[in-house]
Amino acid sequence: MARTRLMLVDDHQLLSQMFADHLESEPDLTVVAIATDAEMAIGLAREHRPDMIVMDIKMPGLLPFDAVQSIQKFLPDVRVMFLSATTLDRDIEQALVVGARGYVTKNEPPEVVLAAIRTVAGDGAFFSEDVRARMIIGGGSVQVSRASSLTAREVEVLRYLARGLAKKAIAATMSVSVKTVETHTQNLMRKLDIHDRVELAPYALRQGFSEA
Amino acid sequence: MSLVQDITMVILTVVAAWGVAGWWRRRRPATFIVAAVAFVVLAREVVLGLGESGGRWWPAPASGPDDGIGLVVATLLLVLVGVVGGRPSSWDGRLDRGADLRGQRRLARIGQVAGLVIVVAAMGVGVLAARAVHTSIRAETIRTNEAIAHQIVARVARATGADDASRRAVLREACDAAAPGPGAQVGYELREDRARRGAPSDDFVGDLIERRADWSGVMMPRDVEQLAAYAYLPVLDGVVWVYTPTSQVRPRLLAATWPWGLALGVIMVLAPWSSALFLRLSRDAESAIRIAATATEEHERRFARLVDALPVIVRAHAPGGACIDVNRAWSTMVGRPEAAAKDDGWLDVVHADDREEVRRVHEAALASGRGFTLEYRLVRATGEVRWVADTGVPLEGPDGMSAGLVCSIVDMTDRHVAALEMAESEDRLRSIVDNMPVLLNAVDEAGRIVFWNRECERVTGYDAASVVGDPDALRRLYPDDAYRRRMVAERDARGDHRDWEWTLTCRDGTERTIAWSNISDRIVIPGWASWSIGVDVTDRKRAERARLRLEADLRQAQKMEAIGTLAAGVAHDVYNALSVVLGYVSLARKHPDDPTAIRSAIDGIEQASQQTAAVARSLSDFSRRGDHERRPVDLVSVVRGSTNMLRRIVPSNVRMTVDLPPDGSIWIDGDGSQIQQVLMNLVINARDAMPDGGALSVSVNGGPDRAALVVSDNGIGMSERVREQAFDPFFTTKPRGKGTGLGMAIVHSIVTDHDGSIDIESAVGRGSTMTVHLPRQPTPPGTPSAPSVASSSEAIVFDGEGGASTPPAITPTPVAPGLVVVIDPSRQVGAIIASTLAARGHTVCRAAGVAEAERSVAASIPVLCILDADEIDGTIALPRLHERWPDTVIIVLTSDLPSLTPFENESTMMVEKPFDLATLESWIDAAFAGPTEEME
Repeated sequence: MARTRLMLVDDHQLLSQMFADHLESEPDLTVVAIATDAEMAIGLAREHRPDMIVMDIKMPGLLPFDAVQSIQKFLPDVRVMFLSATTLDRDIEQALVVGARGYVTKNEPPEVVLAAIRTVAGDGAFFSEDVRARMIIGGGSVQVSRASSLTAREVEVLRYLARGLAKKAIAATMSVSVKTVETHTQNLMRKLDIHDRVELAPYALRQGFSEA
Repeated sequence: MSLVQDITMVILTVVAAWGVAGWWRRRRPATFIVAAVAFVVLAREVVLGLGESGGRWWPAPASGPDDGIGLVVATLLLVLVGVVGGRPSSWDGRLDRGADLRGQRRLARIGQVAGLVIVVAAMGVGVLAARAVHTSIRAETIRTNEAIAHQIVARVARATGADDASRRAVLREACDAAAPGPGAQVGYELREDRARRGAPSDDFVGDLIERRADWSGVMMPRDVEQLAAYAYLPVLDGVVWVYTPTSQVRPRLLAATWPWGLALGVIMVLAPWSSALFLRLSRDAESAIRIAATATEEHERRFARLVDALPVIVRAHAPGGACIDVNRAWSTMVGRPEAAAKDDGWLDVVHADDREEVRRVHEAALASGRGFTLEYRLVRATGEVRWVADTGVPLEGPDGMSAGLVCSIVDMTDRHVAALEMAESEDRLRSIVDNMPVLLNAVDEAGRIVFWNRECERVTGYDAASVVGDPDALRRLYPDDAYRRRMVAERDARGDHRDWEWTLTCRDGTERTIAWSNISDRIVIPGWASWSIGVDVTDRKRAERARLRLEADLRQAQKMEAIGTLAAGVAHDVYNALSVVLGYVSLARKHPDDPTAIRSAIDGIEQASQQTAAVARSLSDFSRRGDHERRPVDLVSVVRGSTNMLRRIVPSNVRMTVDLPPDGSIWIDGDGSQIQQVLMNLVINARDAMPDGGALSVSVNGGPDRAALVVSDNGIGMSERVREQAFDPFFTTKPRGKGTGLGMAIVHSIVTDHDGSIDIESAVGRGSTMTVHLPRQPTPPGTPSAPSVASSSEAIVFDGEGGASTPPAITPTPVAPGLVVVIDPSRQVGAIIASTLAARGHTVCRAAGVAEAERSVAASIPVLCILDADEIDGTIALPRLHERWPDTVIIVLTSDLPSLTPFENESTMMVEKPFDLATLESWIDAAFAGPTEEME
């Protein structure tokens, strides 16, 4: 199998070098270029045509996302993974907008970073847990959400639960399986951070999801 | 007739006329009768007297004393008539009150005198004329008779014949032939005749014969009994006479004098009558004047009573200035008798200080004829001083000259005192309004400024004159149109308000902020539609801003200091760790072939790096400047998250313990990073109190509604004095160069901002305990929280283990990994879903469509198939999938749930987009879990 060709972009050259050293021992990965800023990354990408780019978000000069978009013009299938010291919403958003397959916070130990690189190289996706928790797969794209809202189905289930209906009854009413109802319930409780069925009813009343 | 007779007659006539006039006015019959009688008598005399002489009426030469008595009686009668008849009557309303009575009277007098004069004149003229005529007629008669007598004498003389008998016969013939006038008689008497008759020789005729004299004149011989005009001429030895008796002459007299008599009669009637009329007029006028005078007197008396009754002092002055009268009120007021006011006495009661001015004003009024109003003081007899208002009105006489001055004086002591007090009060208020350091302005209904006090002037630089009434003033003060409009709109909407700040632009262009209070709706000031007071808070605000800036600077400086301290520690640690790393590296180089060495080198390097990473992370967490808004913060998390960092700054000779409640969270409202800063500072201070080491404890505890953070040490402790000043900015017990003395001040400021308090327990030599009390909040209803300051640090544990923490997630039910097909054309989403599955250990097969998926799995049956129905038409794909893999659980990701609901069944689950990854995971788990029991 062909080795995946990698470009590392980070203004912290030592870090790039360290990753490169580690990746050396990987049989299916090879580092073809190391850039220290986004501008340079475009130039090197043009020259070396890597399969994958690992890019640090915090770099002086041209924004990494802009650089990625420029690179995607002539390398449309390049897989992009971002490294970031932060998990600012807007960084994640922008990363997702440019089609990032990975977003790894620099907290993560190096193994995690390497595993992420490997996953993305293998056409997978790797997002740090911080980031995963805030990703929403929407109508046409992946987005970052600041808060989860209940879907219509979940609201319906909440209403029935608040009225005290048993899961079987709810399933029958909604013409779905009990498992479906259970899954909805779990999601509900997770989203509302109410971990007690008993608390759901008053919450629903308070929020106006159902009348007493 | 003699002159005396004539005068008497005139008098009688006048009186008679008087009487007639009197009757005419008064209709008194007695008067009339007497007058008529007198008049008749007089008239007869007038007429008869002309032809008769002697008689009983006139003191003729042959008359006696009884001839005058009738005359006197008649005179007296007529006088009486005149007096009685001439009494004046009232004019009964015919008095023209507007007319000048005195003038009328004068005119009447003049008329009367004139009438009298006319009468006298007329009488005189008439009488003289009558006399003249009478005399001429008499003379003529006499001459006629004389002529006849001469004729006779001449005839006799002519008759020559000699003897006496023939001459006597001629004489007789001649006498018979003489044609004397009508009624005239001719006669002769010779001496022989007389002797024969025995007539005396010394009577009138005898005398004539003797003297052979002629005589002509009027006489009344004894035997004739009437006056006759005689002409005697001597003839022969006797005398011839011709005489005409008056009665024969009378008709001729009448005929000659009747016009005169008529005129005279008329004049005699009219003139005296009119004279009497005039007299009456003048008398009537006189009486009217007297009545008027009486009425005036009466009126004046009434008026004087009225004036006396007035409560107002009235004082009258003559044109010269002397006081001529005062009313009773004057004497009541000043306590002196009215007489004391006369002349200049009235000035004496005027207060000495005012006297000169009062005198001057009065004199000026009299001189100029213009009135005045003056206020001055009077001094009563008791010595009491009263304020009066004197209004002087000059009087003008009918001729336009000054007729004096009338002054009315009102006691206005009370009013004066009240006015003085009011003026004083007004002055006081005006002084306050003008001098108070508060702006006061008012506007009218149209929004124009109508009042602008001195403080407004001082603050804005616009003086009142340029602002009051100027419709442009508001624009000058607030040049920004939008700002001004907003201000006006808000003011209108607000109504009454207090301490509402707006910034105006002064005349010199500078801006000042004024806090306005307006209570016009509640307190209405007449004439002002709206009024407000304002306080210039510009300086205060500036000071406040400066203070806030200073505080922020202080905090920042303190933070910098803390960071500095921390950085020093961090740098130290990093250098340590790096030297470890480099050391291990060199070791590895030295023994490249020694696996043990290599391994230990790697381990060491890893460990050192982990430590450094931890340090770096805590440093970045600490310096993160989150917004300082109040947010629910878990105190326990904050402390826990700061633990690592605290250990950095606490030296090894200080044993630190962190004591947190076992049951998790104590929530407060506040700013996590600021709480962290508080903790930092307290720990630093505790540390600095133990230069030779000791024990330091940090703990968090809480009650139902209180939270407490406690930092205690067993260091040098604080004395009473130090304790008091502990929170003072720049107070420090440290030597110069060490610490800015701001740490505790900032701690105090932050704690106060969080509505908390801080207690110090300390004893010198025994250590200190700082307790920060904060109000506790109930656990907030959760939404999945973004990673806070605490949560990301929570993972950092002292022993260097790395790894990020995971937010609470549904623990996946462990399932046997299986084959999952992901049908999603989107590479990104597909990759994400695939990795989610892969993380659970499933085998993932990705395809862009159903056909591709079938191809990829070949003969295997996937346990689960995840289909993105937005990219692929689910209505076609689902039936196909059902048919192909009837036992495979299908999770459909869709935005259009309703259209796919028909396909939902026990093993086909619909997941609505958008969904988060956790939701997806739960569905995946549900798919693998199989039918479950009821979870209640």
